[in-house]
Amino acid sequence: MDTSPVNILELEAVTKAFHGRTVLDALSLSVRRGEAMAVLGSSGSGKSVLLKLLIRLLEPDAGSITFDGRDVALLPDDALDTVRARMSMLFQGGALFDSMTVGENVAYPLHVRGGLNEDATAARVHDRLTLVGLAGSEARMPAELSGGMRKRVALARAIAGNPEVILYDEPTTGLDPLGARRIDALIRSLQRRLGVTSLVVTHDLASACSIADRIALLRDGRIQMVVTTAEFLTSEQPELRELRAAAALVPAADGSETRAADDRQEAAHAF
Amino acid sequence: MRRLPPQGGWFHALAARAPRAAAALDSMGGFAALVTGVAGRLARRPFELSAVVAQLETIGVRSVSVSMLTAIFSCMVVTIQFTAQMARFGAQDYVGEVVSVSQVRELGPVLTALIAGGRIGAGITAELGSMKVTEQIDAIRSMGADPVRKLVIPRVIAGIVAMPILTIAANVVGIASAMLMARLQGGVALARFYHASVREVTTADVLGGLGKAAFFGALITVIACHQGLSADGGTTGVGRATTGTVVLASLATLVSDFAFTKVLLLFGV
Repeated sequence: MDTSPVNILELEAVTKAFHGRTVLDALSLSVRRGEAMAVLGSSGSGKSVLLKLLIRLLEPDAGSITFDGRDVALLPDDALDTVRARMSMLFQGGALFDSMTVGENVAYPLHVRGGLNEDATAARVHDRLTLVGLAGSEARMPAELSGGMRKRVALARAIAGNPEVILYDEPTTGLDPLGARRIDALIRSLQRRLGVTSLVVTHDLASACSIADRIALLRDGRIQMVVTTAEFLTSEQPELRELRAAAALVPAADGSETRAADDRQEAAHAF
Repeated sequence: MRRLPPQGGWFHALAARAPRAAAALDSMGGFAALVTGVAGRLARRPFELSAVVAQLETIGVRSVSVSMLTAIFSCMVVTIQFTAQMARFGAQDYVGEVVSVSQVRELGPVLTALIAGGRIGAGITAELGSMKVTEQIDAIRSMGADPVRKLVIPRVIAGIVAMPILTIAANVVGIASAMLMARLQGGVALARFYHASVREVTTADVLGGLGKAAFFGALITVIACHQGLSADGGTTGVGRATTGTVVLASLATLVSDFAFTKVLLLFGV
């Protein structure tokens, strides 16, 4: 019998302050295995901090963070490496290593982990770059790439080691609207194809709606509510109406947003 | 205009400075943690040899010309000054002894550390600082790799190896240019200068100087790495950290040189 918990990530009353300013205030959130969840919050609301706590780049001041039933904060270094091998993070600016080629960047997590020979590594790198539509760009340097391409290489690097959970930090920030939608589509297709759990923090409403099964609203350091994307798009709750109006995300005349909602519901049923 | 009354006297004055003092202590704590981290990892080999070689090229090979130029001009100036002063007592023939010993013991290692070290330190801080503010350091950690092992250790090893080699190169060209200057300025025969140098400069002088150089290499690279890894606040923060490295590395070189010289003299070196 599978005894693994339903919630792969669980934050319980997590508090984090910087220089006396509380960024996360007793925040609680659960992410189900295999779902795509978006955390929606304005700039500076502590979204990136939330992700960095999950992968223990930061330590919480209080509260507990569990990954697959294990408390991340209590893990010794070697066990932490195992957890980090099962999770990967797409950083806001891509965080590609400037001194390495695209291929070396994508291969980096594989080298850190070891266990793959050179041919298998090259094959995996090629496969991941193909998935993000950048096959054959192994030898290019990150500085030669556009913002969108850098994000896609970073995405290839994030999925190189077959993670179970991918954390996305503002995946569409800094991209033009078309580039942003392309990244959204890519994240969605990877989500389906690889069957991973995705946690996306973003302030881009359109992006959140097109990627996520559920949307969590982060405000004042807490999760105010968690709703399905369909609820988010149709709910008459004043707060959600206001948000939708702010982003002009009312159901459009051609029904494209409604389609997005149907799409998400369909995906939700698939799990 | 009436002067405003002091707000609460010395206690409040101290309290107002507390955040800065706390930040300074925090930074010192971070530096001490990095030093122990580096020492621990240096003791536990293996290192990534290819990374060390790449850093030797950046840190060492590319600093050769600046080290040599520094030595040539500083030795020539010292020779001109000594020759002029010693000529007043008819002692200019001894300029070889004085210049060679001071170059090997002090000027060589210290000036190389100040000039080449400034270049090396600024380069390291700018590079690691940029990596820090663009989250590349976080990316390394998130993938389960160790930034100290990956980035700091190769730079520190390269610093420890490169600085004495740069100092040797500086000593050789510096003393040669001093020899030439003594001949031109004071009429000291080249052979006289050469033999005086060989006779007066002991193995202990050379090793003491090179030991200092290796220490400065470690000091400068650790300071530079720490500054780079603690950079924050975007590109401005990187600039601030880089300036900080040049100032801190130079001061640390001068202060530790003083301490080193005193200790070496205690042991009769």
